[in-house]
Amino acid sequence: MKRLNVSIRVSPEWQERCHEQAGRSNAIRLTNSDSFDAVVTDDADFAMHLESCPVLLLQPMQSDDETIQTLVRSSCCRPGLTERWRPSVQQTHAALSDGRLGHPGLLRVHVWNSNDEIQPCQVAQQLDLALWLFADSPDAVYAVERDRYLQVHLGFPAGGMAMLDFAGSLSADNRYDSLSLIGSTGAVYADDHANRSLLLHDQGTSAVRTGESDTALAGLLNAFATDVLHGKEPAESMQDVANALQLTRAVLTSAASQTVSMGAQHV
Amino acid sequence: MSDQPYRALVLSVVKHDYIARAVEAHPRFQLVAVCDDADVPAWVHERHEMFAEEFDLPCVRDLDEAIVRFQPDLAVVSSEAERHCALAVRAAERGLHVIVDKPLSTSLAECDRLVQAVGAAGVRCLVWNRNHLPALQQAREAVQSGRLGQLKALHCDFYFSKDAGPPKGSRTADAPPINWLERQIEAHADGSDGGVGVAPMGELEVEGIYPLAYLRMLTGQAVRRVFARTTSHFHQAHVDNDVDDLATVTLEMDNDVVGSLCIGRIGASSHPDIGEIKLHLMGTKGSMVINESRPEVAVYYRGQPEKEFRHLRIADENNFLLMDEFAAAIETGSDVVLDAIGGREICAIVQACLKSAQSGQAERVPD
Repeated sequence: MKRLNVSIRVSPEWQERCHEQAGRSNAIRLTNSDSFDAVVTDDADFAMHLESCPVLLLQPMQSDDETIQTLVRSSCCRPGLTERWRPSVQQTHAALSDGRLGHPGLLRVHVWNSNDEIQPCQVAQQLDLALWLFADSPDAVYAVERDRYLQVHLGFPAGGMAMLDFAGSLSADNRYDSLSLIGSTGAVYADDHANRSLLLHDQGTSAVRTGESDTALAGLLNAFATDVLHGKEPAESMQDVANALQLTRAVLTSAASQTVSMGAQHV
Repeated sequence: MSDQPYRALVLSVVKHDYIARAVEAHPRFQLVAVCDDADVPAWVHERHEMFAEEFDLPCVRDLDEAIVRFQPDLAVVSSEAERHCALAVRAAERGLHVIVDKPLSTSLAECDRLVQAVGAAGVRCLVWNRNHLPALQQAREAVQSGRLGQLKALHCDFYFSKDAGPPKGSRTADAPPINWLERQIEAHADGSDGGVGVAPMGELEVEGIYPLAYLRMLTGQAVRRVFARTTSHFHQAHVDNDVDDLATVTLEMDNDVVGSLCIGRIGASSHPDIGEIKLHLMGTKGSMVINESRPEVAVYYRGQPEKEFRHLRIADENNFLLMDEFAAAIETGSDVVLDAIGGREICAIVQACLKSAQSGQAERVPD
């Protein structure tokens, strides 16, 4: 099988993960040389200078507006939207796109962790899921913010709606994710609550999360390499990143003003 | 405390007969008659007579006559949804304690009449609810114990996976719109007639009282402002009658507590059991995720009917505990978990939600 020569140019926090997950793809041959077919990086400035070379930009939501607009104009930069590649999200999208769920009606997302502050890029990642699953922009945005907590309420023109909340106040190393999508003919429930094991120990009983490990990154890297090898247009674009960040600004505006942001003016 | 059970007059039983059954099942209460006005439609009389026959009760078509003949202590109201409050008021005005089905009303003025009537008569009123389900009680204990700290946020998903007639988009151009009452009467067989009556009611109006009662019990905070979106997403009956079968609500409460509600009649294909009903509680010291259906037991077998629930709720003492609480309220004046004032507060929230869905803006909940 043909393999893509991929150079991984990422910061230390991504090094091990990227190499490990790229090593699981039979479409990727890792290379350290300057002769490569494609690049994986988390450095947006570096990505901007890779003209005509396919590049996968990790953590694209952390880039500034100007950089994103430059990358939107570049045809060779693919954003690494890892949330879309979580197996549970992939299953959700597949059930929706092949018609099993009918028309999307209600997306409910909980993202709780111990990060303390809620970062706009973290919010943008989840808003990107809403935009992706509804394949539309909301016409109403309402958000409420409290200490280390943000609740987002979206309304879409066709009647769909999304309710997302973000908490950064869990105790250390705690995490809880939940996503459900109610469609007109079916529903998906992807919930950590259902994916916990019981651990009975000296101090009592704990619920232990059975996570999705790093399979999102593995799927993303493999899709990137496969699409480049086959000359296929990627499913994600930097315009998606720009849209998610624009919606994030509408959310933060609503939270600050305690009013409804009309999405069409922002997205 | 009297040794004699309290005498309960069934003041209409066209909707949820499980309330009257719960009253009869409790040792402190006994049903004495079924009653309604003479001029109600024939199908209403038929349901009353069926129930009366099952329990070997007299069936009377005059409330005052029933009171004189059977000397009831309380009335159990489960009429068409839009008559709940009016019948409850009439019972209270005649000095009867009242157990009333949900929704209390879609009219704040009617709720006010009930609150006033109950107060003036010095009787007790219980608005039927599910707050004593085991998982809800567990959540309440966790909150009250302080283990979660101060509640910051509370979310409820309340999806009933019942169908409600033909799916949205199924009506042909030459077919008339679905008549709400006719559809609800047909739905009695499968229990999806929660909004039975002449007046069309959406899910927020029919079922919203359950999750909002959870939020009210757990937070103890008043809802001050809401932002809501509603749509008719699943069922043609809801489209034709311009009422919601899917809704989302942002709730802003006192003490900076935030809440949300996702509610819908999402169709039988969207869940293997009665529906996904969950609560997420976030406090300053801890958080909790509960499934309202727990505890349950799974039963699977060859030849199992498609619509039979695979997961059966067990150890559900909600009905018994509601009645226990009501008996105590009558005897000692103690509170019930949802009284007329609580039902009125929830009606105000629902009305603000519907107003928000129309205006596209956040709306204040009327006092």
